[in-house]
Amino acid sequence: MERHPLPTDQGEQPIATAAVAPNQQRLKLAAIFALWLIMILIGCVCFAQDPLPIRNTHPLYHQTLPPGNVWQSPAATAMNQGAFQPVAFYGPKGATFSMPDNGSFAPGEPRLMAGLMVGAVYRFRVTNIPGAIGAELYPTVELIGRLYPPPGLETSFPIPINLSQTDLENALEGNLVTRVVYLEDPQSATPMQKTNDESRPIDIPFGADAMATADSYGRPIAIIRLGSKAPPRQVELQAPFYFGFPTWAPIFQPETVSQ
Amino acid sequence: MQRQIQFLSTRTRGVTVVFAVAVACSIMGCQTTGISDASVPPIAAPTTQPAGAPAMNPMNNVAPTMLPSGASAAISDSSVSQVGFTDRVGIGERIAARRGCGACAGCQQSGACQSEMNCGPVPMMPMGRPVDPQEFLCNGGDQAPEAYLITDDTIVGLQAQDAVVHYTTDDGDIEFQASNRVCLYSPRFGSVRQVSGAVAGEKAIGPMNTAQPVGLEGLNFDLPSLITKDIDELGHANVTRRLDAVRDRNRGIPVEQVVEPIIAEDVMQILATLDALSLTRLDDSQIALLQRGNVAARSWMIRDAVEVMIESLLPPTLIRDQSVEALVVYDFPDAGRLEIVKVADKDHAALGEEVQFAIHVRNVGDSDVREVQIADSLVPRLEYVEGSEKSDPSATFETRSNEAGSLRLMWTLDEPLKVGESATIEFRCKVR
Repeated sequence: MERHPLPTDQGEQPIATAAVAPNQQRLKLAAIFALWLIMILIGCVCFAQDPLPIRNTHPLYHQTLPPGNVWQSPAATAMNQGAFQPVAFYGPKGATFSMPDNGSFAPGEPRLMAGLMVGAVYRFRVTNIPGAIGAELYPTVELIGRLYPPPGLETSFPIPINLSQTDLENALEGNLVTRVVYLEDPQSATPMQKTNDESRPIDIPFGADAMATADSYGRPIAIIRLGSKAPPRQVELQAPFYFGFPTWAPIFQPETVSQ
Repeated sequence: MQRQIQFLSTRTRGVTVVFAVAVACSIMGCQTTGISDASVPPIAAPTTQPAGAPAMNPMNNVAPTMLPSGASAAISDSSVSQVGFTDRVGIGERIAARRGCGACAGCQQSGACQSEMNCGPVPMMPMGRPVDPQEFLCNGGDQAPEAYLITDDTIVGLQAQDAVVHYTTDDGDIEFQASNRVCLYSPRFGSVRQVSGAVAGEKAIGPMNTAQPVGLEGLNFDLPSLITKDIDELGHANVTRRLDAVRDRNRGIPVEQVVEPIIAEDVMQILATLDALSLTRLDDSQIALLQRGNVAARSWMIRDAVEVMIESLLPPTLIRDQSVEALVVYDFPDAGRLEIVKVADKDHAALGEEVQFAIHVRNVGDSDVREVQIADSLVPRLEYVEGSEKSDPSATFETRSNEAGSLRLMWTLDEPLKVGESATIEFRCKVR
């Protein structure tokens, strides 16, 4: 504009010879601008196909994330949450487990099995803890995946919820124990004899990401958090404490008849 | 006003050009994205599973190349994609190839696939019954790289879970044949434990600040050192030689022990006669000699050969372009060919349970095969039960540890396998 000032002193009568040069200049500028935009857009299209950056954290879970919030993430894919996934609770010898039923608990069972919904957070009770008479723990279990067994084998292969004596002692001492159960990849499985009721976890330090670690070994399928020792006394706080009492299905184990 | 209008029109054209470019680029971006999506293994929507077909264990006792339609429906990639299966075994590609549609890109470009089910959008939540291959314990087949034999009769490329048979035909060729895959439903779980500190409402409260080790901010090398050194040297020192400084006259190597070379040749002397420059430089005096050789090389052809004429008879003409006058095809019988089938006595197994496997090998070729060896490399979760193998006919059995921490089982048949004959091998494994 400074090179070719408009002849404003001559009113609205343009001078044809003087107007040609500015228009050509503007055309050139417009063309250069269009080419610049083309380069930017092509660059955007090209760079948009770069692979995702590798992160050391899990996209759905963080250790400061409260229970139940994994499924609040928009990155979480929809899953068939209407089905009950059988889980089995295993603990040290003598410990009993029970699920809440309308605010109360049934008598504990040492080998409790229940069908839980994927995505919901369940709080269960652990009693008869060895070495801690009268102590109770109220851990939570949150299923973030399910199994796809052949028909008829749903209860034969439940997800094991293993709590060791060390876990219970840590929780009674005021620590928060987080366990992420994963489905092991058979290709990279350790060639060791294992049973469902044994607890041999992989311990990771506080700063590590439990979900990311479990994700590297297989498919994370459940999150267990131990730490709560007693439910709140106020009735108003009971529903949030039990995460709204989500529905669960009891699984009765066959009784053994002794003759 | 006219100038302003012209300017506006120019700007409008510029904006129009920019808008057109943006639209074109966005379309191009979509196409590029589409191509990149097409490179992903094809996702197929679940199809209706026929009644009576093997329902949930699609990989059970079914050869990779003989998957029924029900099985292919059951292991559709849509179900697999939900659980993040990366298709290590190439099931999706085989299914897509079976459907006559190699990839969605090919479908969309050629339009060969009439059904939209093969190339439809990826369903985020399939309605069919999904399958997670990680819940199955599969053994058999031959994953890439394929197994082959090296000189000392060692099988190379036999990964854990592969099961192959190799044999030698009458022609001396060594052939490999992979078995089918046998899959057991046997999920195994592990857990990761993390213990954190303070707890309030089961929300882990992390430390506000962490004490990181603070190191030095910098080093100043210009500071004088605390160590002082006396640089004054002695002007004169009277040193008396002590007894240990007396030189031993016996020290040294006797002259007669020195090994001298018998013949010493100067190698470089031979090379000194070579003149590299003379080999690469063409002298003018050598051009005539070179041209003479060149003409001789070009003119020396077959037709310039010596011909002899006897009593006005022409010499016979050599015809090099001969055509095929007759073709005789000899029909040799096909070489021996083996088929190998692996089966298990159950389709699901709990941890610690024993599973009986059987490998059946049959000569379906037209001639005998010899040096038949069956190799089965077990996955890490299968533990061979010692002494549980038996073979019919007799075979030499040996084991070797494989890279997965399990065993590689090998049977070598003692006798050649004739046409139509078969061999059966049974063994038990414990699921761990």
